[in-house]
Amino acid sequence: MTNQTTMLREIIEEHSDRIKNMKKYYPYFRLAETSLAQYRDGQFACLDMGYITLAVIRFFIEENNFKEKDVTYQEYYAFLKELLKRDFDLELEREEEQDLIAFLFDKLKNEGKPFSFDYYDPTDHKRKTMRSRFMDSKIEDGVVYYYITSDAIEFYLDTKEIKDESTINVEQLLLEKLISTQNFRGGTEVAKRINNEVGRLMRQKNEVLGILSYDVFAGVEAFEKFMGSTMRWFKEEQKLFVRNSDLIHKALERAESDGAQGDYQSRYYQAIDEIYQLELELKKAIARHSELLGACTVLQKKVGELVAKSKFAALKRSLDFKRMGQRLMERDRADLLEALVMPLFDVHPGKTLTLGRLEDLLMVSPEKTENAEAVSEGEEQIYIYEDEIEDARIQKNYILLFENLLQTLERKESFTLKEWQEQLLFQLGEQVVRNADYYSFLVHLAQKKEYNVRKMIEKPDTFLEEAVKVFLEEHKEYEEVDMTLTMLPEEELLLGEKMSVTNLLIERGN
Amino acid sequence: MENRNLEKALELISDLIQGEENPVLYEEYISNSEVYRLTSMIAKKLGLSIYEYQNHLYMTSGEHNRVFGFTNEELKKAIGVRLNRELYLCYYIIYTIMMQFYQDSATYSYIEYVKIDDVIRAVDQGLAAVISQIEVLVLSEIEENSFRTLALMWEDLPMITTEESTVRRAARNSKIGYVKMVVNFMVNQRLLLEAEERYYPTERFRALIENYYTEHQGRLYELLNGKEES
Repeated sequence: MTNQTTMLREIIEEHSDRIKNMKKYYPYFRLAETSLAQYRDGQFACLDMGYITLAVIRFFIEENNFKEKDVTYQEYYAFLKELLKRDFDLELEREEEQDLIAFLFDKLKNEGKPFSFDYYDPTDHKRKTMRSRFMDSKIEDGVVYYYITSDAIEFYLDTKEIKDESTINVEQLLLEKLISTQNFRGGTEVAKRINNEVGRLMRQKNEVLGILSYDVFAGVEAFEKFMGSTMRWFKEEQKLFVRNSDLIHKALERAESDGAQGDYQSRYYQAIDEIYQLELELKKAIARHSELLGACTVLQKKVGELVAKSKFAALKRSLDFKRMGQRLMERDRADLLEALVMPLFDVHPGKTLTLGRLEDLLMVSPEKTENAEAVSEGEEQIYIYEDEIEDARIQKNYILLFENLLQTLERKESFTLKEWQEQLLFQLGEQVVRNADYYSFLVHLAQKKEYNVRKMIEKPDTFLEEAVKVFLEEHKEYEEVDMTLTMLPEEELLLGEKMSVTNLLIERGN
Repeated sequence: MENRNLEKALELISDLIQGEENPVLYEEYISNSEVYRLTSMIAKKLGLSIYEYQNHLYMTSGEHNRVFGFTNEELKKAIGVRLNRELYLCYYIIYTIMMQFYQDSATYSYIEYVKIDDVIRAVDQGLAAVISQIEVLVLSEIEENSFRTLALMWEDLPMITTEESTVRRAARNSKIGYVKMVVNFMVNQRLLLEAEERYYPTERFRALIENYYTEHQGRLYELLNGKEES
């Protein structure tokens, strides 16, 4: 809701202000549209009224404001004659020329009338007319003089979209015009703009400094351009500042004297606050302008030094950091940046050396050329540790015994450990029962009462199962084998001479 | 060779290693040719370089001095980073700061100081070309020492973390934090001076840039152009 209200207020209440701001452009577009196609059978259709308008405004600014004089028709005539010849290559007969220049003059001053356009004021619900003119005239001692209006100056200022030149002068001229027409509030706005312009130039100065810092040639070019568009106006600008200050003082004096005389209706007296405000802004602008002047002088000095330094540097050997950085990027080796930054770091001794130690270092005469420590190329060795050898042996024996057990189980549905051992003795000889692996095999085997080969492969539970897993995976024929073990505690079985185990009944499962 | 002169030379070197300065010894170095010769010789044997600049002496151990230089690990600890790629990013920031003041070893700029924001902008610009290539990259193919790794790290850092809104802290979690960490290190290394978050180059910084790199430029060109690998 609030947004809606704000929007409507802007649309309705501010409409007139916006139109007023646009009025300074209106004469230009009317003039630029003027076609000379109908004039003298289109003989001068090549003339561009837009260009002529801007040129004439600039000429008037020069005469009226810089040279502080009004313009007579003859002066305007001379300027335009030159322009037509220079810019449009027109070589005309005298009469023809007089007619054309008079025709253009009439157009420029709209035959003495202001350019007017209608607009609708939504606040008052009425159509209104806005009027604006670029040129005006006055008569003094029988001579008609022409001068430029504040609208024209303001318009001309706004056309400086590419801010390549100081606009302080033109702004000041406008300010002067506004003071003389007692538009102090407008004057304050202009003074603020001058302030901004000074700030912009200050920034531009810093930019020039930045360019100078990495490219002297580009920097000097930027510097010359900057100085060409700034410094050469300084004198003029300061003169205008003084003049405008005087005008403000006069206005203040007038306001005060009007007040003292009890003339409270005086425009000066009523606008006294605005005059003070304007004076304040202008003082600020003058101070900043002086600051800028100082900074520019310093810049000028620095440029001199930098150019001299650069000339010297051209002869001096140097390492181009920028190029080095680019090269490292091309090689994509960020780690090598180390070589560029490391020399800057402080000396960082890992150890502390005493003076005596330093002296010792001197006493040892190093070889003239140092040979790097020789590293012979060898083949990579694979080390097998004792326990790995043992593990392999145990696994091998377990597999042998377990395979034998399974084979026996294939042939017989059930048998005792004693029977199996006798069979082993027959197959492998007597030493089998003295083998520690056989004993440990039996100990591990007795840990479970049931064995299922498939489960042993999938999830080996015991050390024995783990050891024989590889064998079982490779011999799928045993996959379906189930086996149960039953202790026969009443029977002891001798292993060699000293050891004995309990007999077992080994049966094929279901 | 006079023993006294040798003592002076050793004492001078010892002072410089410890970051101290003795005006009397400086005078000796300038005016006594024997002390100058001995000091230069000892420094050279130790892989150190001494430069005289604006009436002061400055010392550096160059880029690969195992005794007097930093190791990677020591540097990481001193700056406050953990990984190599973080260290490389710090190198790049230091290089960028160097470039703010010097485009080459002979041309000093008139930039009086840098601010953290300037450095961030310069690093952004410097890595912009690399960042533009990142979209088409396969991340696993990037080497730790690649500029693309640096650019990715930099790109992924927020400008500032929420808790930093009032105070700018040195930390690895934001661009501002990173740069702050590096400038703090450079201040500790007597390369920069801080005044109200503006960083001014010290005389030591200027002395080393203007002398060391010019003197060793041939070797550095070879090293950085890859000749060391051939």
